[in-house]
Amino acid sequence: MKIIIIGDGKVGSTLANVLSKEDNDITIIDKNASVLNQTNDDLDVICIEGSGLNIKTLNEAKVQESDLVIAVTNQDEINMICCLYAKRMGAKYTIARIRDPEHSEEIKALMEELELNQIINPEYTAADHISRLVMWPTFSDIELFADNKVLLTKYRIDDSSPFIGKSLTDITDFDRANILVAAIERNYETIIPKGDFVFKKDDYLYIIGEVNSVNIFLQQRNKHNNKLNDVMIIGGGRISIYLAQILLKNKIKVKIIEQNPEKCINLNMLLPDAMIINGDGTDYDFLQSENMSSAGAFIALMGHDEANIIACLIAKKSGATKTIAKVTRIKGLNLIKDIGVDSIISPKLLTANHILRFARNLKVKEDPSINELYMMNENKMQALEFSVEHAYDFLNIPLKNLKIKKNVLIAVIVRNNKIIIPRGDDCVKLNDRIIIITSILNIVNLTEIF
Amino acid sequence: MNIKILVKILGFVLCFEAIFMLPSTAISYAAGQYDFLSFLLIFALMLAIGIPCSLLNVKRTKLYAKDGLTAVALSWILLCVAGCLPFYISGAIPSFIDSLFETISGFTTTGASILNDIESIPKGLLFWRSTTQWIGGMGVLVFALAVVPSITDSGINIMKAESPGPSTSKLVPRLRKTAIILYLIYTSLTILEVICLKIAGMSFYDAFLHAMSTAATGGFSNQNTSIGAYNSVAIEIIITVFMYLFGINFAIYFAVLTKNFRNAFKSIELRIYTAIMLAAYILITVNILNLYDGHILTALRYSSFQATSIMTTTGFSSTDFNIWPSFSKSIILLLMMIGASASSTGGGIKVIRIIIIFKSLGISFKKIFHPNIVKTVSIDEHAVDNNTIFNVLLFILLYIIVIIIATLLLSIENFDFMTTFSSVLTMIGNTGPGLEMVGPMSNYSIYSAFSKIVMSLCMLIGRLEILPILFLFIPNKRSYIK
Repeated sequence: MKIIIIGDGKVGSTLANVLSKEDNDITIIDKNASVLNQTNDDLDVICIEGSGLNIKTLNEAKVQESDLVIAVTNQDEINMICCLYAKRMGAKYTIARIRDPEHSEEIKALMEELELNQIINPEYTAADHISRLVMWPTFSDIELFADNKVLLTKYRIDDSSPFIGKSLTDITDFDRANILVAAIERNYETIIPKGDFVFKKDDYLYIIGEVNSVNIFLQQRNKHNNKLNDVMIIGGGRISIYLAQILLKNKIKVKIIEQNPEKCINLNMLLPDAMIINGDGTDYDFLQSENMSSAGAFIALMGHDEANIIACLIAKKSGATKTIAKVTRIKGLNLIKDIGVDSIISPKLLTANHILRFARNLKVKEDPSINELYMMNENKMQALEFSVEHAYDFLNIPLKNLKIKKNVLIAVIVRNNKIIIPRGDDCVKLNDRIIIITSILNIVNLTEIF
Repeated sequence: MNIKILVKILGFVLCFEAIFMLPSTAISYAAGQYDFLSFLLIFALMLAIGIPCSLLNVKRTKLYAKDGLTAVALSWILLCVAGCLPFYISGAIPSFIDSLFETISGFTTTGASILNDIESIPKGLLFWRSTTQWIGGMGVLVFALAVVPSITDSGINIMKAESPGPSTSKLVPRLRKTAIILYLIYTSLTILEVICLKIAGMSFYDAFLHAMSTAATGGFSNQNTSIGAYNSVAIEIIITVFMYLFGINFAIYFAVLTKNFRNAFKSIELRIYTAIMLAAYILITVNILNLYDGHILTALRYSSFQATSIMTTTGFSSTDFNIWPSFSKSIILLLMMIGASASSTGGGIKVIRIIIIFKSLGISFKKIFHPNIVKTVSIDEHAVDNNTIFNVLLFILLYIIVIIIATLLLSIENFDFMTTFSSVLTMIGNTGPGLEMVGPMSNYSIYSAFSKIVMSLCMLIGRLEILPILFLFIPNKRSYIK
């Protein structure tokens, strides 16, 4: 597929990185030569210096032959116009990043007027993701599949875990709970475990299963499992506004702490039901006086990664149940989790996942069977949900008789709203939905897993 | 430095070299000459070492810019050392240093020879000599990237280090496809030339051999008197045209293939390259008119062939330009330095660098009169950033420094200055013939082993554009690497 990415920022380069490894021809347009040089050295893509608003540059990038144009510069208006130009010049599909809440009301109209195929709002995506973490507090990382019936989450093995030193086949807890250990993250490597896999301290298990089963499993093992009724948000940016809106709708109390007085007034106008407090979100005494220790969730969404991490560490130390930090720098995400922040949110990474899902689906336009896609552990592994819509020749054959590729795991089969964790005797049938976990990153079609 | 991946790359280089050696081996077998066994032996040896190395399982496939430089430099040295063995083992060239010189001259597409009697060398070896040029012309690592792109994630760093020109850009987003396109253009043009030469009356063997030498702008011939031996206007015209074609930036062929004619013919490098060449034709023709009794067409025939041959750094000769007047010889030295276009198979400083230098000189002059003027150097409507200009300046400076040092080292031989200086220029420019004692009708056997090593290094430095080879000699490299 020929893909043009306008804007070589974090989202742009993350997308280019993953998409180019999936055998797409990527062209990147950006105004900044030094950023392009770096990208050109790192990735197998072609870089063009120039503005996406310039017809000549777009011509040079061969927009007319492109399948997909993704505009992710830091300005909404530029993204819109780039996409409009691209569409008029013959690009098949366009995606624009539009983040300003001002536009959010007219999204539908904008999409039609500009003939956009997809709009992404990183802040909204991030807020949506955080709200899930708040509503299911026992999880540190959540992805829902099969119309929100199947849940994939991470579970850390701590010092006191009874699993340490045991192998997967020795432990019956998972079978009893009807959930599956789909993958293990150890020392930043991700492995699909075999029966003889022995657990160690600080392994992260990716567990998948029906939402309730997973919930019960984790509640039995976690010390604090009270439903979160109040949330403290540090920083009053766009994500905070979207997040507060979603949480308030779900009857969760929201307290926002923002340093800038004018912003506070603005927030108060926008979110009349939330409590807005003017103050420094990294000041220990101030946070104490605002009862941070009793807050159900402590979410740091300030502009600086460092401030967010420090705020979360303070909150964790003084007893906050769950801490979530927004981190913009993508590299080294794993390191931060090690020091005790419960969840890390990277809007850029979420956005990239979102676009990736769209791009993958385009690739199999005639067979648009990927429903969901989730990148795990810094893009090293992914979970994919497929619909089985054709009479493939692997249907109705017990899984133990099928030759499935190495590093591919069929994790869940969803049949008539029933969730099946497949064993060797189960088989895939027509109209099932299946979720696979794999480290082969360029799978777009079900036939590719055999 | 990632040693494992380096070994793997070197393994692939050996395997490819072995495969490229097959046609020569076949010819040697068909001709039934004494070199067949040595070919077979070396073929087996290269595969025996190359295959296990290339099968190495490398986990980290990232290559940084400096690793790219090292990989390219070492690959080329290995390529040359392995490639010289057939000459040495078969005994066709008894001295190892001589064999190495001849092979480096081949791979770097220089075309300088130490052979007194080329025609006495077995056919298979002569074919191998021209094959080395053909491989060296486009670069063996570019070939490796086309065939096995999985070697490394960061092939661009290899391509940058191997292909000539101030800035290496890909033709299409995929490096592998770029490499394939380059080789396709290269191969089809070569085959076209074989056909033309065959029609003009050469035997298939000769046509292949000369086409490969021309394609790489190398200049090895199987005749003692080079192209002059055929004394055929048709052959000279065909070779002139193809030398010119192979001296053009290959990106232009791609633009033509994708029907982007406007960009192709607007290229300033193509225009200046052609203009310099035409100017040289005219100046030399006028200058040598007397030598050919005022026959303007004869003068043009020799001047055009020779000017093209020297400027594209091929080094074929149809006549002895050593007897030409000084002015013509000076032009030839000048053309030798300028060289062909970037991203072609030719050597020298490259036309594009000359253009960039002159344009920035122009701006510097304007700045004297209008100190606050804001003006950037632009090439084909694209601004050239200061960093590139700086690198071009640095390149030319290093080029001159290498010339000075090499001249100093060669002058130990105590030949006349013109012989020494033109030897250095022709080596670093990958041209082939020099002037006076190393003119087109002579060869480099007069030099001592020490000088041959110096000249071999010059050829490698010229072909790989200085940095990769220089990088190998940086003392205490470890501290740089870490």
